[in-house]
Amino acid sequence: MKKSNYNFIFPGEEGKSVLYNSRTGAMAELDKEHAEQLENLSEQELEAQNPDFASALLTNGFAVEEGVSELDMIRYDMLRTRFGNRSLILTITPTLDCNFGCKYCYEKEVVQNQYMSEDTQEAIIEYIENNAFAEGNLHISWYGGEPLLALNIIDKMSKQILQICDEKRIEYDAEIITNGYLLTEDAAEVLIENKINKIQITLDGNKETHDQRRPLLNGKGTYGVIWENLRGLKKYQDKLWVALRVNVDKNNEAAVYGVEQQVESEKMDSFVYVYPGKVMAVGSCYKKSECFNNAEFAILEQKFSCSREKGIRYSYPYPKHIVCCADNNNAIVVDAQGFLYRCWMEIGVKERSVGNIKEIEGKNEQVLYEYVLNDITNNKTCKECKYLPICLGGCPFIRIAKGNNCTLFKYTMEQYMQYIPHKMKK
Amino acid sequence: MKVIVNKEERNLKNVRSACTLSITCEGHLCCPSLGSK
Repeated sequence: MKKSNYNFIFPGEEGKSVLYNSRTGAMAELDKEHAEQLENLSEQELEAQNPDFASALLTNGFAVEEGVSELDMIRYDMLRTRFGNRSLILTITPTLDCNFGCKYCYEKEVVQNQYMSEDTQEAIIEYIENNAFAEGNLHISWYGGEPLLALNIIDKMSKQILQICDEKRIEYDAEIITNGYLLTEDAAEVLIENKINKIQITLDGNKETHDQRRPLLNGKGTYGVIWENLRGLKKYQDKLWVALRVNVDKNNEAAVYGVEQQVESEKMDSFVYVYPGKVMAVGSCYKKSECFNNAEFAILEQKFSCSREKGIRYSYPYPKHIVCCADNNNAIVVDAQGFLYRCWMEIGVKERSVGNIKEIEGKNEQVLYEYVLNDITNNKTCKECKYLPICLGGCPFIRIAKGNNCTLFKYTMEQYMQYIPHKMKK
Repeated sequence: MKVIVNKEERNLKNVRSACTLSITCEGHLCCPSLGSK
């Protein structure tokens, strides 16, 4: 056997050490004696002097068989996930219309009062019929603009999709990314009826901060209505899960703590998960000087994650096999006109479209290849990096625009490891 | 050696979770793309 190239060792509680492996995600606690053996003994000495320990290292991926390339293992997992999975993933934008005028919105330039036509809806349904894997998985993300402005389209299409899933015994799950303003109890019931049970809503802080950053198009505040709607979801808490995103930049650094406190005081933390999102200045949508850089945001995120009792598993550095939908060959984003994209950051940017749902083949294939043919395990820097399995080069959109975008754990792993082992043991 | 987190099962079940509000995906919960919307 040989020790893994992806082992990290950190000081733990009571003189012990924490051993973590980024390729397998395994974590273990070592007493002083074992930590010293791991550090000082060669593989051969370990196997001879402490075969049980050597075997445990192998079982948990802290060591691998001699002759196996861990880089090949990472590449294999990445490629079979990217090209060999049986999940179809669609992000559908039923409208690019929006009722909000968020100050940092990257879709400002593409928002338009346009709703998906019946033709396009039918073409998407046909695409799902032809491409969803029988007895596989289908995941739908409803996106916008503001998708709840097109709830009737979501309702109609979801019912057709559910029927296909039923006939082909496809495991289905769906989510919606909404600003929450139109998420009344009636709307929630439509979502639940259609098994859209994960909802992402954005709230940027207290009333003053949120209303200043995320007003209606006419400038009116939205904080009160969103909270009223959130409270209305309480009665559905067994059927819904809400990701409450707090978009942060240098103007509302501490907002995520306030939102978390509010959720707890309203006793909604059993179904509402609060987390910070990083505002990015894409093109001219926002001032770069107001945004955090990766290192700054990483520290903010780590401090928040480690400050609370629950939810540490969402912050755990699990290995990735793909980065996101954009580098997954079976995933596609469809806009309201039926144009197809790899990443939802490119919605409405026609030169980045890879076709139309009515005419898919042979359109701007090079954009597709930029996303799905990148082999990060061949990158000179990344192939030597211990963070590679939990990073895979980071956000593909940023990678294409600016180059590799390292995992935020690179800035905060040590700090996380002061908290994670203790909290994971609970 | 006391294992706190088991090694990830290397099977395709992980693929599905990679597209949802998942702990293993850069999408959604930690996707920088959504930060500006």
